Amino acid sequence: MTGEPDAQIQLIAALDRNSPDVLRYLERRLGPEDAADALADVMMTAWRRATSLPNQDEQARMWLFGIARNMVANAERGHRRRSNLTERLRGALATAHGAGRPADEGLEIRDAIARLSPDQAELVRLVHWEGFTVAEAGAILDIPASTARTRYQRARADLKATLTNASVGERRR
Amino acid sequence: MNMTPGREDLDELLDASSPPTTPITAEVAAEISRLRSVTLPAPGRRGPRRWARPVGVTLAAVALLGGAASAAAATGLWTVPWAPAALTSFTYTLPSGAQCEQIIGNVTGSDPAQVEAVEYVYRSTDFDALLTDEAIAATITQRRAAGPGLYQNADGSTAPSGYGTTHYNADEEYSTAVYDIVVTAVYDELSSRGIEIGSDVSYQSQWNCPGADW
Repeated sequence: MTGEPDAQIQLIAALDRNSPDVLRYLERRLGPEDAADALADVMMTAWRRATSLPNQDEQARMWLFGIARNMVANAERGHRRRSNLTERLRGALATAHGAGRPADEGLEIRDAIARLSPDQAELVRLVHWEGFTVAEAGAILDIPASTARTRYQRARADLKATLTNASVGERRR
Repeated sequence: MNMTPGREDLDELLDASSPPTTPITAEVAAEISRLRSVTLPAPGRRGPRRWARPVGVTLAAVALLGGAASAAAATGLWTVPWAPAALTSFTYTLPSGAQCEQIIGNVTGSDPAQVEAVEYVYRSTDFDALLTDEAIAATITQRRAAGPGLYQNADGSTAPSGYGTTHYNADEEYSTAVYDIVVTAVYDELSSRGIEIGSDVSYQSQWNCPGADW
């Protein structure tokens, strides 16, 4: 926790370090159309709560992802309004879009993850897509580390079973 | 495809399953940096900062009760589609002598009850009565006492801004104080009613200040 002027300076640094990753996270969860507006919402919320920004870099990163996680939850409940504030970023994303991997790569695994319970699925995504440890992902989801570890192990077992069954089904065809 | 994964195989499969995202090109990175700057609040303001030199009719979504507003066209015409249904309007005179009229409206959010509460408070508050010379002067004094804000240069570096710095604009300081009074009044009224507003509640504002020295 820091005072307001220091907090603003630290938040500028935290946003510089983490905004690309937060944008990727939002794009994976909401799609490229809504990611820019969601990032603006994350930034506005972060500025408003800047005095709560943790001092440690990794904690600050988790703090930003926690805000982003709430934005995703809100976005899933309602339609996101387009803001002129993000028009240029949306344009830049549209221009750059398509230069990455094929969209269907990993689709079967994503489907398997999506069949987990929502909490398990998000835990797996935060660990394997965003690079957090299980404990960090649990903190972002506001669950104790021990609970996160249990859920994660259960999710892995479920995924392994699902993917094994899919493989068996594939061989039998 | 062999989908009977061992432990390491499963990790690899999961790691590789992330949906492809747009590459962070130089243009995207520059726009992220710009977005960080334009969402930076002015000192004492709860919402995002206004453009340093507002032009055109761009309006920004506003989180919570803060506000980003924009200058209306110098022709004096409101250009936002919701202007005829604006919830409130108020007037004030800037240090340069320019007369301003500001409107607020287009409240949106996922919770209809919260949207309705914000709309009600805006409709039922007499902002002209709140915007006395004394109130505005006191707010400006408070803002100056809070110390300088941050001005973001084009290269991303920052410098002090506000009264007593090279990045000072009296008209902007005054209009920001006016907006602070409005936002604070609405925030306080909602708080006194025990209404907690979610972060996705937003509204828009547009002002018209022909001749202002922005």
